[in-house]
Amino acid sequence: MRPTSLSRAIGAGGILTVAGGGAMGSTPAVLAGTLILLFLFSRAAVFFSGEKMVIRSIKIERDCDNLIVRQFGLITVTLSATADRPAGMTVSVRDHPGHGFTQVGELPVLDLSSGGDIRYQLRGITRGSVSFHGVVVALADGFFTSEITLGREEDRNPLIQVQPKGSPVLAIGDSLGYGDATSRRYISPSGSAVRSYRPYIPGDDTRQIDWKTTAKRDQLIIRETFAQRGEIPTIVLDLSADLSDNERLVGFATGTIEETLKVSHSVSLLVIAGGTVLRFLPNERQSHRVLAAIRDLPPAYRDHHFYRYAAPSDLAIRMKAASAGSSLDRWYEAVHQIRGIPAFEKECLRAFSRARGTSLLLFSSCTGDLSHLAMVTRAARRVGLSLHLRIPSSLPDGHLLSPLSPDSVEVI
Amino acid sequence: MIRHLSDDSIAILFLLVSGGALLFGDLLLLIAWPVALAGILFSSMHDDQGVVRFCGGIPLAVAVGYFSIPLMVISALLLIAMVAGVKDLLGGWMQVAVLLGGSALALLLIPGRDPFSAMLIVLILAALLSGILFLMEHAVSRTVRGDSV
Repeated sequence: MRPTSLSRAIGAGGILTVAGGGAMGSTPAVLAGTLILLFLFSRAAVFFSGEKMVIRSIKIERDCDNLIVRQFGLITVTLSATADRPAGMTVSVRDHPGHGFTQVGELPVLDLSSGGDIRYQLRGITRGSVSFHGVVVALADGFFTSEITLGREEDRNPLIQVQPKGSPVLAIGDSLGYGDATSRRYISPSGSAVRSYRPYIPGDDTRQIDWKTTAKRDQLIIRETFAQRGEIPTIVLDLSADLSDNERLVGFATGTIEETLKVSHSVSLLVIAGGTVLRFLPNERQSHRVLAAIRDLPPAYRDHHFYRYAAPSDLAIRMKAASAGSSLDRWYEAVHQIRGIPAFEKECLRAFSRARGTSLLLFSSCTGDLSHLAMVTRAARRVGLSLHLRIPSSLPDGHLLSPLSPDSVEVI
Repeated sequence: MIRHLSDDSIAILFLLVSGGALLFGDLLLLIAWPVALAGILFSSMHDDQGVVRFCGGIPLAVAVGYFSIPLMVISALLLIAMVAGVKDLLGGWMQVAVLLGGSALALLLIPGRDPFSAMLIVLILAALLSGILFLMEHAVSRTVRGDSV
């Protein structure tokens, strides 16, 4: 319960009058101050009883369009509330989703006097069964205001199941991993080996629906399929300067590691930020160790920049374009001979050789300078890894990705 | 930023009347006037018109008390009604009971007592009541947060 400026003034005036009157021996002042304080306490009692009335009678109804979503998937929440409202008191309700979700835009406030409901969107961040924290009820009259967080069982419903978003590594021609609305551009869903069946979750690829089983069970059923080759993937996590992109990349990489370790006996992780190697875990079998390495990553920074680092093929094209024997041609040739393989590319090469994987999964936001990604790609090609690119938002321009020439691109 | 509000003139009128009345009574003027002036300044800065009337009215209500104690109770209640509105003065049976019961108790006990000890009793009771209200509010918050009570 918090006093408004008016009740603060009344309280201060009452106390000062009583104290001043007592100190100076004035009975009328003590009496006047007492009356003023009495009035304030009577208002506090009125506010308190009104508050209890609202708490006893309030009924919160929260509806979500999806109760099972993929990590970072959107949930539309509709919140409505009814309560007995005491006279002269305004009651408003605000949802309190808690740390398991991030809100999209501002959270609207539901004013109970106007009724109706509020609608807003959330993203599920934490994986597993996530409940809401409750609702915040704000009460106000002319003298007091209060904000109460209702966190009872009935205020925390419904329970949202947030499934991991990452998918295991698949080679060309292998099946799709389970569930994804976005297309995997270069992978054919044909030729899959069915591992198990499960009910459809919004966000799953509709091509994976098994219609025969669906007809039998009278609900949409998905075929879960996995890679057959027992691949050992190397996961490269490229942290960007954008924190929200990083959060998503780390979330998807975590999901992918967990999913991959279900089918592969080990996984390798290389965390980079631009041309800086932050972590390297070769052939790790324990998922908790990989997750621990991801969890306490330092804030992304880039020590080395490869801004417009010319690839050997680029240099070759330029050398051809320059007239033979010209100073520019000599310059390009000198650059080509002297610079050798950059230190970062060497490190990648060493890491990929040690990891002994068969495919490389590159998580990157693909923003800004992509020279370091070209180096990762070249190192992967030298070792003979297939490259699968995972990017968080819409695809960057084609010409940016073309030097990488990934085997598959997935928008996560 | 200090602005002149329409209620400032009412408050200044209150101050002049109460000042004149109190000047012949005792030195309470020295306490009541700064309170009123602080209220006027505060309300001018925060655009809160209720506070200025209230702070200007306190010395007047006290001054009336020097002539007649029961009349002072009425004038104090009138002052509160003017500040908060009649609806907030009589907001349900509970408030009326608290106000009437409390006023009756104060009228019975305070006039015959030494003002200094009366002041101590009133302030101690106010502190106790505030503490009880805080604990009750805390208990409600714990219950609705889903903690065990």
